[in-house]
Amino acid sequence: MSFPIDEMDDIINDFLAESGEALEQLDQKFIELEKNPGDLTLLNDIFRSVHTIKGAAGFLGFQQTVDVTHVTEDVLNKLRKSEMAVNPVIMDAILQSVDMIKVLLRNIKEKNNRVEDTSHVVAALANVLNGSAEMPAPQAPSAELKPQEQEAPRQAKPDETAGVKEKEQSIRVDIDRLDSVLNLAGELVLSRNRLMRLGSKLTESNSESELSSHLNEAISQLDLVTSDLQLAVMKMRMQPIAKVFNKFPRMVRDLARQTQKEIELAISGEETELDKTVIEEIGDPLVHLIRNSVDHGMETPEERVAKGKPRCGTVSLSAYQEGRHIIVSVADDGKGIDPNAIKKSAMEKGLISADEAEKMSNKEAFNLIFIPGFSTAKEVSSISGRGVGMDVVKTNITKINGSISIDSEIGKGTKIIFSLPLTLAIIQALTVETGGEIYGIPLATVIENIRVTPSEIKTIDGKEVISMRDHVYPVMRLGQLVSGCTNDTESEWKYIVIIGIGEKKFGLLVDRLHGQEEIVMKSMGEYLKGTVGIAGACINGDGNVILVLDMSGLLESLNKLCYC
Amino acid sequence: MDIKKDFDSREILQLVTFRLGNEEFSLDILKVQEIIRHMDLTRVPRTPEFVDGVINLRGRVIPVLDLRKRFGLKEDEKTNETRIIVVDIDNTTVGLKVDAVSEVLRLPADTVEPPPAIVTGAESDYIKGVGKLDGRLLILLDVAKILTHTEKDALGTVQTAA
Repeated sequence: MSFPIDEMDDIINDFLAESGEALEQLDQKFIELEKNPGDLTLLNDIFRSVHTIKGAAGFLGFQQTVDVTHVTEDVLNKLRKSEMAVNPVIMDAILQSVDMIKVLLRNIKEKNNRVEDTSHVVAALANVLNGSAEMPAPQAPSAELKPQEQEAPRQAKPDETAGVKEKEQSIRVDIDRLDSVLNLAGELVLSRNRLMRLGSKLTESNSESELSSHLNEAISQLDLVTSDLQLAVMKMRMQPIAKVFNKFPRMVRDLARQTQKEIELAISGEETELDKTVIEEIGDPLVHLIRNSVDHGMETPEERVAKGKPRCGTVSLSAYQEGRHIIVSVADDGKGIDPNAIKKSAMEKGLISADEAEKMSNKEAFNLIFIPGFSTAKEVSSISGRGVGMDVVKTNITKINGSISIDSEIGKGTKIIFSLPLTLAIIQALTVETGGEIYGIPLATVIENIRVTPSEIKTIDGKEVISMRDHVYPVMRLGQLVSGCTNDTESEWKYIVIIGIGEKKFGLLVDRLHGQEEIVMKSMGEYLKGTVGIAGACINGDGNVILVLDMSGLLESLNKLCYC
Repeated sequence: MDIKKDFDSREILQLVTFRLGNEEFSLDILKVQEIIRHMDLTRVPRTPEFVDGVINLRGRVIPVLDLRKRFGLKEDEKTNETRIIVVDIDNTTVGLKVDAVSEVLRLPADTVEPPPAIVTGAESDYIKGVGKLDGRLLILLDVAKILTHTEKDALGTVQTAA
């Protein structure tokens, strides 16, 4: 490109951001269009988006993008004027071109000057234009499902117009600026906490004073305002989960065509809001689960009819808020998971014994699929079944302090449920004391706390263990883990915190339990970043620093100690 | 190290001077963000010995290095004079614990001499030079070197611990 790219960087970045957003919505709209081929407003909408991209690309001299958008626009124009009717072949060609546009835009973003081979995309669209891609025969199921489908778009529409209106009233803000506001709000909360403590101390020492009651009034006012401020700032970082959900209709459509199944994706609660970081982290796990549902969970249309189920399967994706958590679930009405098949497979792989399998509840059996290397799929397909995945899903979800559970019934379907924190900046932590130091443990990793006498801790092969309700957990002394010293204080009672990381569980021996606290995580700065076993620090009410433990890091370093 | 390259001879250096035991050290004033009194520290496990811990500096969590331990001097009780010099180098904020902060002074760059050959070596390359002022000897420190070095050492310690 002969353009002075440096000077144009800003313009190009704006173009990329806008086109990217437009393309994201396009996928959604195309799927809707396929369901509802006669919708002219929708067609016009799509046409305008593509036209805008073409115009901007032309102005900036991205010839390849212009070429592809140009033919796409021609096809859309014909559809718009009802010179052609929408059919799956045309849709495939258009969707392919949208994909190609995405690739081209990415190339522009990476400035790699790569030239893509766009000829097949352009050719496919040209074929459509020439009318040589007429649909061979109308598909039977689409006629069957019409009555249902007509209702769906009507419901979806008001939502969408509302979304458009919101967008017009928003501004783009650099994420760094938001973060710095969040930090400042966090600091304000800490100052408030200190003031509150000082205030209550003052009241204790001279309760009569008018001044102290005025002060306390002012402090409670400050308390209210800072809490509101913090909430408001957190909300600024929130994004609707629709950002992730939007890419799935397209994915499910493609997967269904690939596997020759008929699948409808039902989405609900896409307006539920989550912290930006959480949104970024759940995309991949969801992709994985939906692939699993479509590939393994769903039967072929023939099988479904034979079982007396509707021909078209449904995968539903939903999100809603429950207290301080967001619940996201992926459910299908496919064949469900057979707990016995899982047990058998786990036994064959030597993961559990026959005795254990006997005792295991269905729910426990489902959890076996999170063990690394476990996959019940009989065949490996291009979509899924390589035995990696579910453990990765679990690890990713645990990483953002979420939890995951499975519910399934043979013949009825499977439901996988995530419980995610609203935000990563504020976490619930259990504070414990050992060797005179206080540490925070993220509550998401804590299963339960027990009180023991030192004699209850047994040793097996020189390693300490605790037996509880027929389970034996290895026991680690926190004091030893964090500093390598064993200066445990002598006391009658000890406390063991049972920690669960993925499928691994172990007990952590501490001197005392302090309580549950809501903490604002802070990094310890560049210099101490990467200290093994420490996730970060937080500042408690009286201004002292408390270290927050990174349990998976500790566990890893511990494994090294054991096996080296 | 070629000291002439580092300092223009007519340049006046502004230095913060502090004491460790009987020796006087100094830092370039531009690197110093602030000087605070010693406060309660939270010990951080699995860090090198000279990392004293972390403190809460108005809502920021910053590490504090004990310069005595860093330079291999004998540990000393903290006194009323003990200070933490907060330095900021390439966006890394670190506190340095010293026995006492004495003064801010100006020193013509041409009175600074390279460190005597006998003390130079890999271990002491954080000494930028030695300044002379009214018969006093002032050790000029290169803060960035103190940090980069400790980082390397820190890595080494962690590896041996694991």
